[in-house]
Amino acid sequence: MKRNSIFALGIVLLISVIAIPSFVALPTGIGGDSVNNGCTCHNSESSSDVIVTVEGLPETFAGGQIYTLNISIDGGPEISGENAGGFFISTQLGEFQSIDNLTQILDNGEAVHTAEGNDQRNWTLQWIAPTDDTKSIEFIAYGNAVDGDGHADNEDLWGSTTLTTNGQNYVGGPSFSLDGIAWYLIVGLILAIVLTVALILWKKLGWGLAEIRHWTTTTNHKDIGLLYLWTTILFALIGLALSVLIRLQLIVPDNEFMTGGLFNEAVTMHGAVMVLFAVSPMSFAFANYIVPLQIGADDMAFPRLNALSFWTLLFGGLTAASGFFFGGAADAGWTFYSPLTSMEYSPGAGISLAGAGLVLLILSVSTSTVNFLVTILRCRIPSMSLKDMPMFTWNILFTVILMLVIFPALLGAVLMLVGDRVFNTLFFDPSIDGTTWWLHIFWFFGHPEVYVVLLPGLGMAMEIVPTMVKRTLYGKRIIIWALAVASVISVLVWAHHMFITGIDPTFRKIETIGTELVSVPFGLIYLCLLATFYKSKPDFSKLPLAFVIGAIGIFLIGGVTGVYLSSVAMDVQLRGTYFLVAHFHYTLGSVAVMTLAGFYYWYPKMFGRMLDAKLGWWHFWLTFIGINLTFIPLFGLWDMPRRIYVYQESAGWATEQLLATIGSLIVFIAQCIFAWNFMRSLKSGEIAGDNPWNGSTFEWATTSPPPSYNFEKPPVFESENLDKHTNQEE
Amino acid sequence: MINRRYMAALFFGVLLLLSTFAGIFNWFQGLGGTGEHADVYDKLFTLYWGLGSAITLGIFLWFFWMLSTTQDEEPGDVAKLGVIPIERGDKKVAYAISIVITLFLLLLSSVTFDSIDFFEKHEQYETDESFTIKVTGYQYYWKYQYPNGIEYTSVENEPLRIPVDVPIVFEVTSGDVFHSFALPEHRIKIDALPSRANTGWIHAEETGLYPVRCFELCGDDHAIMMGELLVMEKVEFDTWYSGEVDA
Repeated sequence: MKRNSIFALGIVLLISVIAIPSFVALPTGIGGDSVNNGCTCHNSESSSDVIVTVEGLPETFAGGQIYTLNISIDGGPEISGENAGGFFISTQLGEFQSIDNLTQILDNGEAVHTAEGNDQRNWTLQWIAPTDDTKSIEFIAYGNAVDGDGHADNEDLWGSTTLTTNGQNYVGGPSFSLDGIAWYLIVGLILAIVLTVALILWKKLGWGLAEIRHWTTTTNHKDIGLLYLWTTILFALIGLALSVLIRLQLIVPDNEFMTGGLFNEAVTMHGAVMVLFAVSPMSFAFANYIVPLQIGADDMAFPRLNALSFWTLLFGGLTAASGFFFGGAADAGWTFYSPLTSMEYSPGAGISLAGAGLVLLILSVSTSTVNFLVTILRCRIPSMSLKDMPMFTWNILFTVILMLVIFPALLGAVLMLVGDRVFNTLFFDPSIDGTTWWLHIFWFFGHPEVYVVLLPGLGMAMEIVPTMVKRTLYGKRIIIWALAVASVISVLVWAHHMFITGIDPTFRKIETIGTELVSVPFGLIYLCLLATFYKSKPDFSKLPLAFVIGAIGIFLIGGVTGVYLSSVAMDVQLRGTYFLVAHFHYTLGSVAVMTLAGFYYWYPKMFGRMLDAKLGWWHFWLTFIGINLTFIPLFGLWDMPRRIYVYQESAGWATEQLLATIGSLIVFIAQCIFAWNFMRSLKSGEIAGDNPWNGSTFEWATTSPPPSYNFEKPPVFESENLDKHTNQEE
Repeated sequence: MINRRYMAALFFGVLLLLSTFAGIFNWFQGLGGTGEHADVYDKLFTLYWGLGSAITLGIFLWFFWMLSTTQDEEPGDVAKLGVIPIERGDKKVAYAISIVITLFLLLLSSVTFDSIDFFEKHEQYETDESFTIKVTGYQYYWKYQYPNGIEYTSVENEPLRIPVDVPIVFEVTSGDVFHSFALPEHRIKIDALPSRANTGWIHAEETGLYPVRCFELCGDDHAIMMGELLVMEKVEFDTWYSGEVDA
């Protein structure tokens, strides 16, 4: 009974989440802020006696056609003086045009009567239909009938009406915006992936109800880790495919492959999917699988909460991406700068759906934060003190602490944004500087988020390097302190994303210094990682090490160019250009490469078989060359705005864009090779054994893959120097 | 031996990467801008680029040296499964490196702050001839308003006209969404936010036609939100400026 009611509640919640984006609240009535001329003499409530009619609006309109509209008011009080009434009409698309001195058009496109025009109760004006005749357009007209006694009182009454007109080529229901070949590619790719997965599961692996039941109800941390892995690989493929579409659009000047709207959707969803739904959760796939093993636990502290984290992540990502099928995905950039995200400038469900997806993601992140904190702090084997934890676990600990601090800010921001869109709450009203407010609250989340993405990758590198070069990590304690300092600084430097938005100059200087100081802890971490190689015995034939060294090179260039951007004066020129794009793809790209290193390192533990080395080396070199070929040329495009879908031959950007596109195609091919290797090695890879790399952490102390209870008997951590280790309190 | 081969290949890859990187930036330097801002900016960039490249190169070289110390026999402190690893690392080195990096960055900051003061404190650089042009961003055009009442937009295919050798102040705001008003050749970019007026200035030293672009995603046609800046001889500008008023 109880279980059923919870189930019912869940369904109600799900339906409301889906339904919310379809509600559209009315504007703030007749006295709202937008009307500052006329129409001030009215009651707070409308009267059914006053009937407003608009004549001349066709049921279907032709693109670009001019229509003459006649607005008239019937009913209301008798006219006993000079003034008789006023009107106000607004619509989302097309333009109003005044034809006499009785009406006027406001800056925001709404039409009202003038001071001369309030002596009567009907008006005539023109409406120019938009050229795009595939839309359905709604009009709202208000009419005010006044008695003319010269003062506003209860005798003055008003009413309103809404009208709809459809374009000649309007297709009813949720409109499938067929924006040409690129759209078919997106849909085709997603369908192909889903079908292939389904076919492989059904035909090759003989999946039936029992397997489906197992994977949908599992609470084992290793199963959930694998679910995370498959899901984030899917999201990463979507993100990668979108990036290839973006690059294909920019391959030559004046390309007509995509429209501006679809390009913006691709750019937005590439950013949002990659940062929020692919790279970061992919590290948590490893965290789910590896952290409990590394600390000798038999599972996470709250296995069911863990399952909840996964399923909310999956549905969050699908909800955000589903915008493509409901009239267009979010298209305002993954940073969702207000007021472009408001209903006024971005009608349609895309941004609301992305907001709903983000809320689900935040739910996922919050639950997994709690879960990891408790697991890491309380579920370690007794002989392992905090300082003895492996570095990957340490990095995950700092990551979840950061997530605990920043994701509530994102939740607040997203709820306010969705509130603005759905319930007209006006949190980000541009007239009260809502734009700056959004920037502050979003970047308070957004800046530390890149460290949330980065730290697990660094953790993987810190596991792989000591294992592969056969020395312990240099300066473990220094690194841990540096990570702590970096985490603290990271939440204090958000305003470097808004250097030239007009924030206080002194605050800006503080943020410049703060941002530059980020390079102190990361410099230390970086140098410690390199110092580990001193007088070591590296085995360069091992793929995880190759990927880490590649990532080290890429990360240095990302880091150094980051110092350029931290300078407020340099930022004046470099903000919003391809130089910035190249910078953050170098940092985040290095994280992606570190994560690939993690794949090669832990694949044997997860599946009991090694990845094929030959294909692996192809994957490594193509990825490494491809990433550099994509982003080095982009450093040269310091004068090209990012996120533009078309550029002119004369601008001189064509060579760099062409090179970048070739590079991104190489990266894409490399990842296809990897995906093939991944699938093939599941069945035909070399048997790995329990500890193929001679690793020293506890995930190597059990079988590959580990049994569902992880360890035959709990591992024990011994100190070589017992005297040093007698006091375990730390 | 296979190890050595892979090591050499890796070195080669990283070196290649490094030289390409440095080369691209040399080329970057060669482009240059125009006007007083560009001089200040180019100096600042040269400083950052020089130090950045030197540090990148230094660290890569240090890393290669690290790799050259690698050996064939197993080092003594390899971590063993189930045993707490020996801690190594010197706190004093970490303190020293932190202090060096911090001092170095503070030095860089002071140069940066001089430059940003130059970019933004236009009051100090204005002359009697200077005036303020109000620029308002709309989807997808710019509206320019001169002090004498001349007003037009970039959709009318009219360039933004300014006289040469006169510091001009721009007061930038937005009529709808977030835009960013930029004159890339003059190295200036001013964010256009609704209900907020940000200022910036330029001192054009050469006549000519330069691009005006929007640098913040502002909607479907962000890419074609372009205009032109026409820097005119003073006499020509005065004729145009007064001529419009008579008309």
